[in-house]
Amino acid sequence: MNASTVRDAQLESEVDASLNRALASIVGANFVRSGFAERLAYARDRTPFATFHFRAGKLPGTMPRSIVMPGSHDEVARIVALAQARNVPVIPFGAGSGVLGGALPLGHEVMIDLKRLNRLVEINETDGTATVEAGLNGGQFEAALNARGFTCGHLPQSLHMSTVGGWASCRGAGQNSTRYGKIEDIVLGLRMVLPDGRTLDVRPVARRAVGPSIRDLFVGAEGTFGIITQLTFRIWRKPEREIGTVLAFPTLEAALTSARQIMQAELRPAVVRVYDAEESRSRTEGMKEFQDRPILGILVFSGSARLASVESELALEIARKNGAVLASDEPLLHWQKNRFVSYSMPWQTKNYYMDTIEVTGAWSQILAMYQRMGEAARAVHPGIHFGAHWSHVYAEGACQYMTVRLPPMDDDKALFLHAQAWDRISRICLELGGSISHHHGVGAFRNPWIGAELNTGLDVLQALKDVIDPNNIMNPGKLALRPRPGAVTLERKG
Amino acid sequence: MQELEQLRFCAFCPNPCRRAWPAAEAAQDEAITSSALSTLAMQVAEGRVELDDDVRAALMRQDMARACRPACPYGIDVPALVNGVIRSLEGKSSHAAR
Repeated sequence: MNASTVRDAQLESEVDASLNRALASIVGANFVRSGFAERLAYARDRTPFATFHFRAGKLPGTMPRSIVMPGSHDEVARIVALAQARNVPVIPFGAGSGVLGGALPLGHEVMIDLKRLNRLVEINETDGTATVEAGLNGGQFEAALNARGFTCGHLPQSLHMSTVGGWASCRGAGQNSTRYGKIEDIVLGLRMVLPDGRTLDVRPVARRAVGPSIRDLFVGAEGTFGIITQLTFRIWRKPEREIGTVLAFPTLEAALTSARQIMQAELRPAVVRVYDAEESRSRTEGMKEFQDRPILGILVFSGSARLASVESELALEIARKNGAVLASDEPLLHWQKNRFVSYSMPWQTKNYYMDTIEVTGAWSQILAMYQRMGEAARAVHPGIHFGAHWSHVYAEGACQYMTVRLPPMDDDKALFLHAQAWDRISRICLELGGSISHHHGVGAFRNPWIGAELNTGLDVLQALKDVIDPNNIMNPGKLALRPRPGAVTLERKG
Repeated sequence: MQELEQLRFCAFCPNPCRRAWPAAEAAQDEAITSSALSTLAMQVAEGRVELDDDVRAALMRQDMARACRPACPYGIDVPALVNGVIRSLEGKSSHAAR
């Protein structure tokens, strides 16, 4: 089972029949898969690095051993206990929408596809909570809430392509996070299967002061500490009104200063988006307001009509003081129409090497971060595209979301340059005191920088992992935690 | 877009159409999503995967792709593209046999 190409993987027909029979005894034969075509579907996620490999006929990691699809928490627990008894590594799999290799098999793991765990267990309108199984599609969850007059407020670009368990597992953030919070603010409780097969319930309550948060040990653990099977989320009444505003700013500094001042004035926008000149240009083409004010800003306030109106006016005052003018709605409508689809396919189809990198920076460093990262990317290759926007903002800083795109070229050379761009940008981020991941997580692709990001915190995580999962069966090699012997690493040539 | 380019486009797309597949369906595996079918068909069309009986059977599991077709933001008809790849290759092999 050492294939590195798709072609070789088809020629290998090794199947662990004994394991498959044991898995089938838990979930039924219909919910165990081990054919080549079925395993190939789980040999990638949406990591651009994986896409670059797949389109060249190469495997980014390994083929998985088998796929098993449990239909209940108890079945998950029995599968994990079986894996533990046989020392077989496993990976929980939702919709595979991660972009950093968190669900990539690196050592012939068994993939535990959780999408049959997709029941909406309860909506409690009094408490404002919804309890849902981890494998439910995010868009279906939000639609079910909307039908009852509620929203989860967690609306990532991957809404329709992801599962609710995946949201929590990668510690994600939605596009309305500035108002509703990130997933760690939204998850009130969860149910897990630990690596030894035991169940852990973090009972949902508004808050507790009972030691460090057990919940936060698992929100963002990317399946390395266990498998989330059920979650209880905060939910909110759908807003009475949404007020969207498009602004043209004279400079990027003016736009980012406005975003900072809006947050430090304690206003609560649902959406704040600032685009650099590169990203503004395509969204404002032909619009007269942007002729001498090239920076696009989008604000959305929501909630009760009166409150949203007041907050929007106050924010507008701040923006105007920084030189902004109101512009027509086209960029807002374009964003609303396309906010839940990916932008990468036209480029990946044409053999470009497109990737996105999101980091967190303090306001005092954000402009230097943008400038230095752009320079570093352009130094990697003169034909590189570098663009950025800021779409999650705080009183203290913001998420800088960058698109890096290399033109078509020799694959080995491109992978070398791609790794260089990642390395340079990540190092600058750390040098300027930022965090190398705002909401995409770590997966396996960010492993090289986690030691510098977490310093001795990584030792703490490894110590916890060693106690919780001494045989290292649970999504090994991710989050920069120790891989299993013989596992592949994502090859880095930078 | 040409047919192979559409397959590649869908292969690299993260399945926003999947929301159209009911949660109540028993089959929820990744291999039957539109993007997985497109990926497999792309590898077959590009000569990296042999169209054997197992691969053919996998490509014919099109219920989810058919259900998700109306939800494709780009109007791509994955079952038609996949069937086109199968027909094309089977046509070639039958021509070669003559």
